[in-house]
Amino acid sequence: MIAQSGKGQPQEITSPDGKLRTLHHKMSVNRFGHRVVEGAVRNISSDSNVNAEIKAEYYGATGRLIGTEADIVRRLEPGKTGAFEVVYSGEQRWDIKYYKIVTFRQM
Amino acid sequence: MIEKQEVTLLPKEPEKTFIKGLSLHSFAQGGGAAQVDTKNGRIVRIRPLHYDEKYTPEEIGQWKVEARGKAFKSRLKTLPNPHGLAYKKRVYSPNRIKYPLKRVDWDTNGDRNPQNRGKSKFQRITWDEATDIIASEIKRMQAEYGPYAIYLQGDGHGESKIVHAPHGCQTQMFKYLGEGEEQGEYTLQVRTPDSWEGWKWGATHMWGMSPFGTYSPGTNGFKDIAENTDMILFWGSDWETTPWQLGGQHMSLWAYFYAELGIKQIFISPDLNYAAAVHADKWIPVYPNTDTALLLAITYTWIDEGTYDKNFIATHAHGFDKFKAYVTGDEDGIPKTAEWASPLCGVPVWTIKALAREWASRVTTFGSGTGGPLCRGSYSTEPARMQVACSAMQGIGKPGTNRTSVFSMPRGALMLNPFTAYRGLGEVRWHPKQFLPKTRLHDAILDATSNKPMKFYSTGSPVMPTEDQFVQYQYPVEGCSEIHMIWSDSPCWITCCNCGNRMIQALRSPKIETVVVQHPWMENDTLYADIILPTCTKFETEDIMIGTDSFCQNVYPEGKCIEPIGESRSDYEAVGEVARKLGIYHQYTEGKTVEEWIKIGYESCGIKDFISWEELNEKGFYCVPPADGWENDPTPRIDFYKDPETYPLKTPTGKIEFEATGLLENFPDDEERPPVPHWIPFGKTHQESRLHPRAGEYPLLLVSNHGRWRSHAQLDDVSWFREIQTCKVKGPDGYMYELVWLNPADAAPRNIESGDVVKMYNERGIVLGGAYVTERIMPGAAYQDHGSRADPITDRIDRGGDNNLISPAKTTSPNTQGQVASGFLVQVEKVSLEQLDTWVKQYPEAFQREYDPASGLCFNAWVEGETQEEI
Repeated sequence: MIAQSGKGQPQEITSPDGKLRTLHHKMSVNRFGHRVVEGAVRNISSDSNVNAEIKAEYYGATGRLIGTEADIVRRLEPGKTGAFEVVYSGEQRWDIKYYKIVTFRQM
Repeated sequence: MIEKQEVTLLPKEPEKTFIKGLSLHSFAQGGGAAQVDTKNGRIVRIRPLHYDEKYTPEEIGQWKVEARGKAFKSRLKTLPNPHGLAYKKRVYSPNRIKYPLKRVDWDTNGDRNPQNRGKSKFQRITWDEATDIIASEIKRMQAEYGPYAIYLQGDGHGESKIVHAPHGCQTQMFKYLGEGEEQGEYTLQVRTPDSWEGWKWGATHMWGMSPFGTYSPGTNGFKDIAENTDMILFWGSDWETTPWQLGGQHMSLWAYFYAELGIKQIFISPDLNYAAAVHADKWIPVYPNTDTALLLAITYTWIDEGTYDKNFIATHAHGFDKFKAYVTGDEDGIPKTAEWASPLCGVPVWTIKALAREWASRVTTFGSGTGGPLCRGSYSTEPARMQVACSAMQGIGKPGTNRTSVFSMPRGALMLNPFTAYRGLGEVRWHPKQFLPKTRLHDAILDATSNKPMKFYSTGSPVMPTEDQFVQYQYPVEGCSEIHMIWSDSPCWITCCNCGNRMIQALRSPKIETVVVQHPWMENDTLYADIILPTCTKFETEDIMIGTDSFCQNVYPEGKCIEPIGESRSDYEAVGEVARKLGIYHQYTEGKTVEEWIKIGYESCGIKDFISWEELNEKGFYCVPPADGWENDPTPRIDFYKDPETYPLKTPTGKIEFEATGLLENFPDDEERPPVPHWIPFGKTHQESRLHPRAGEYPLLLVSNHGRWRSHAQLDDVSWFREIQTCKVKGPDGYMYELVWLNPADAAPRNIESGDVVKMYNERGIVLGGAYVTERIMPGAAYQDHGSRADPITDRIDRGGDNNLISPAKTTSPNTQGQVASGFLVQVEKVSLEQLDTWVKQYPEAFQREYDPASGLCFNAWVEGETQEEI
């Protein structure tokens, strides 16, 4: 099942230091109903060995915060992309209606 | 002359009909919806559910896949498998446990005699007595050792139920036990990814597909094949058997449809399995555990002839040069040619080259399956990775070049939530402080102590991310107790896991003071219990099913068809009775009745905006139609195929890693799962190869697929199946032996004919069977279905055909937690009547147990002072 993208967020998000950019992201549901925010991040700097942290918040219908999870994409070389999957597997996963990427930064 | 007899006619009660989901997938997932007709309080028949009796095809959302001028339409009825249709025989089996039991020589105030588990009989006790003992033992364990002394064993496969969850109700109860940091703690058995070991522990390092390792997403996989594929390779895969337990027979229809479309179907496995028997354009027999050699030779042919997708490899792959060096022999001086592979794998050179050329010239996909040594064999990581390598070399992700599975149906308009009302163990990432991968339980009991803890990599859980495979854990955890009590609701460890005989040894350890089992049938691990609680089948309770069937997702309230057999109660209720004794019943049920939980299931599953509770009950079921525009959903991994930079895989490089970065960094010296896939016939951990000296003594490789007439260890007592020629064979002693397939070339020198009693053995024990001489198994291999019920004659001699008893104890390779339950060495010999007679004299009690050829061992066989009552 393909769920909606992050509410109001553009597909391309740039990290505060300008070194990383998401190329796309969306939320899907796996076989166990886990909510997976999946996408790709690119190292747009000339720095080597850059780690990217992606943290997502998951919300219910009324805007209630249900949970927060994160993933790290490690050792991105300049111009290279890596996939991320931020997985929420808590009991309230079925109440999740949308997500927001709240942290996107170099680690 | 016919004598007049007085006949008592049953009252003319009208038949009642209920809907039940009869897949044996377990957890909260449904499947196999069927109509169950009852009369006078008994089940009279089980039949498919016809959706169109209550809805129009438009309301159901009947869908179709059109390709090459033909169409595949979803059916307007369910396709329950034979297991479900015959399930009433399971309900009324003479093997049903009718009341609580206690082992006769287990005394909580005296000698517990752990060495007699599986030997001594049981005596009847009351529910009150049984639950008193269990509650008291829990309290004692917690006081004496702490919470981690109790091991909760709730595993996969069983009836699919929601409120009366088949597995893990104990974990719900334990949430409310203990105080402070110890509240909710115990030692958890982590369910390992059984039957997809090679994918989880191997393929995931090559193509990501986290966390399961199997190809994903599956969306529109069937459609993609219909439209674009020329040839399907069913590699150790049986679409006429394995998918049954997941909900029905729809995979069979797809195979027929693909044949109609002219898609070639090639089956590669040591046995001519049931799908191959009806669908194969060609069957290529390959020796067990040698698929890697065959696949390497195919890649050699492609490299040699330049017939792989070089552009794809250049842009989508990492480490191909290392792999190529190994294949061509630059690494080790051995080119992996067809000539090299042929004597190893048993496939003629001509066939290997022809297959390689056919594959390179046709759009080819893998028909995935979960069986045989490819997943459940020693070093199964290697053939799984080699399948990824081959797929990658032909441009995986491009139209028609995929893998498909039972989850490849159209996307539904909504995804049902079965979990809110689910009262059992969920597939969550959380785990308590102390846990054990299922496959390591015997090692933990027999070898580990606080002073010498067992170290292992990975929790073993299929839902943990790949990085979990690089984390080292230990048992016992520092400050935690070893386990001293086991509470199981899935008592088939010795019939389903790695080396049941070693597990029996562990269950008899004096460290294990208490074994509690709850189960409907007196079988397998149940025989090794101290206390047994009788649980009922789903026919004996109300519930709700929220799941996926052959063609759509559906929801239906499940009525109570019959009264519980004997004193049985559902798993949920059985644990509830213990909760009462512990004073936490209200917390355990969260203050709700079963009826209220069922209603919660409806309200939370996602359909309440589409159908009211009243209408659902009036119509009996609801089908979720496919989502608008499902036809346009992208085929699996087409994005990666088109643009790997923007849509990378979840591997460290984002590409298909022929040299796995994670393995290279974390286990650079692991010769049994090296960073680049290798041909590993045997090693330090396993010697299950015709090339190893062990083969001198044990020359046949046993293949043990998921059973045709069972679902793992379930259904062995169904009389309708036991009559079938490929299920059991009657021995000269009247016993129904589990079949052992042998090729005539292997049977003749052993003087074995069909119907002979044979013993299959290695250094781990002896398992008896009945010979079935057939060319459906290749020479050099033997075949026996997985899951036949154990029937111990004495230690390490089994009459029931439970070959897991003699499977290897060690995991797939040292840094993995997969099991090895197929593709292991055995010898097979004819058992003479004299030999049988000797055993009868040596172990008379084993041959005097109450036994019904139609259904096997009876409940009374293990209970003192009982005579069989018909149920």
